Amino acid sequence: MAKYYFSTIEGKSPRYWTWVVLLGLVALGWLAASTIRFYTGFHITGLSNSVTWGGAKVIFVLFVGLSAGSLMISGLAVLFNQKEYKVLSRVAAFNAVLFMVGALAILISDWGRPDRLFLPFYNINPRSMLSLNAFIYSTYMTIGVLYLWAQFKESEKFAKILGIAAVIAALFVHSGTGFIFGIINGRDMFFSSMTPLAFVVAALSSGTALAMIMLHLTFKYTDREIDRRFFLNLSKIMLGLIIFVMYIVTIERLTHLYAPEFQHGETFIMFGGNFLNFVLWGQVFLIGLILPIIILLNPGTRQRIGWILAASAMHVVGVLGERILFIIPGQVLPQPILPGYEVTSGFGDGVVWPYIPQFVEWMQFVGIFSLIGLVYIVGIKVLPLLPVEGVYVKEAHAEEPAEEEAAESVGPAEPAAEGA
Amino acid sequence: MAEKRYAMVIDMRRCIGCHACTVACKAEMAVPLNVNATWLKIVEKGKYPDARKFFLPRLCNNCEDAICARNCPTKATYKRDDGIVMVDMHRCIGCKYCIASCPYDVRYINPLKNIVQKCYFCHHRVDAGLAPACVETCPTRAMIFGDKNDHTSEISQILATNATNVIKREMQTNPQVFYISADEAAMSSVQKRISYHTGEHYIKLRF
Repeated sequence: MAKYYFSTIEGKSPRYWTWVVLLGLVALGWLAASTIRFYTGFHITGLSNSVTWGGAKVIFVLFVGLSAGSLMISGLAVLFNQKEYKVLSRVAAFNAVLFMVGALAILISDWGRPDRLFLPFYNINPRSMLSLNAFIYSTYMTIGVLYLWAQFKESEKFAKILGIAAVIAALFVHSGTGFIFGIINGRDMFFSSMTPLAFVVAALSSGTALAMIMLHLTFKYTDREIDRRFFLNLSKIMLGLIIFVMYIVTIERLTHLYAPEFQHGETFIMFGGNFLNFVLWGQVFLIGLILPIIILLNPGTRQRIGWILAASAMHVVGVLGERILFIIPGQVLPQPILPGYEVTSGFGDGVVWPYIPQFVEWMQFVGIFSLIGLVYIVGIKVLPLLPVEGVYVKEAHAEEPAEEEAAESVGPAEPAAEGA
Repeated sequence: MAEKRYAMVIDMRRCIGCHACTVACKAEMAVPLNVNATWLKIVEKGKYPDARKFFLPRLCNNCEDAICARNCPTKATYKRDDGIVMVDMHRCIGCKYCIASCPYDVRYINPLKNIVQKCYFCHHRVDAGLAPACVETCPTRAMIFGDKNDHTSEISQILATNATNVIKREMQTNPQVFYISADEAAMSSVQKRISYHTGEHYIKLRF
């Protein structure tokens, strides 16, 4: 039977340690920024009373998406017994846990009182989406860890059961996160039943994209081989998902244009002459959706790994933009107390609130990406996550698995860092 | 008698826009710089000489069906039996979900304590039998506070005999701050085009 053999990386080269130290230092920046923020107070951030959820929430949502997308890819591969995708079964499960930890870390450091972390667990408000999500996230983390354990045990039965559980949990996590924003009926730009669905699909596509990038970089820097067909097959799936994302984004925007209460906000995002216009047209539509679709459809580029990876990276950046559009416009726009009119300035009434992340926040953003990268490169050194070669080990030489370790270290593991 | 239900009526015919309520609230509740629990909105209408200012004091509406209390993950925001929406400062985790949920933008993050606060109708004064600071200080008695379930109270008589309005009725939150004769442009947080015999122009909001 075709099978992959997994091993740790050696991780002794100077380059590896340079990366560890570099990422570690920047990751410490996250800790430092969060501490400074906690002790100094809310006023040193770029957030205001209108824009209370800023970049941290955007990254939180992006990470939740990448985590659950990653787990769903791994889980679905196990579920439908897709042997060739098992190359990423372990690393995807590991990434799922990793990104969830990152998501919770950035979320909790965005709270005013991170020291009250466990309060939501014993003061439960069943009507609050955030309260429910505390349980959804912890269940999801548990299932993710168990699923990873089952992958290490090479236990088909456990992996299958936990794979199903993981896919369901990932769906709950997406929907739960989507509903946090979707149910806010006080702000028109948030209130949408489309949010959870858009989350699921964008998470799957960006999860696939990121998995490809991470795998490629890791295999390249560890001098291991990976089957080209693996990327080609995965890119076809990704193309379908990207088209679906584009469909959802487009119909949601168009639907909004027809309703008076959304119209004002939509025109603000589309043609308001502000930063969000660039996010919508440039980052989401051009970089995130149209260019990747062109690359993945064009016969000249769709067979080339480099182009596929470029499309993946662009799509991750685009999904980041989509997350920005989820979270920021609903808050920078003033609340229309009588709907259907235009906006002007005041004591906080009717102002389009500017949101410019301050230095502490940038430290948090960059730091959290470094933290993810650091845990990833340490993880692949400590745990046997990566296949020795990303090609089927044929039955012929399945008895003698290639034992030689790849000596080189890995490269940067956070391709989505730009644009945050 | 039914249980207590505290409410406020703000009579805009009497408001002179003096900001006394803003100042009283700041002093009473020790509201930090840059944030406000109560504030006054001023809208200028018309062109000289046919110009006029309209005011709208803003504070937490202490809604009957408060969205913030529904969405608080730790039940830090809760409703007292007398209708005041409270924030338990020892329970708030500062997740800011309530701020995002509030249709009226009346909550703020205390920049020093990192938790969410708002107007509580001065519950400590009300419990001691006093009126809230803004009501106490209002020089024209434009603000009236009381138990609207008590039919002998001033507020229930005013509510019964006057046409009142609330902000964003369509949110179905049942706000407990009622406005008498509030100007439509002042109630709106948005700029809109209006036409008078003086010509077409924009309303200016100024503070």
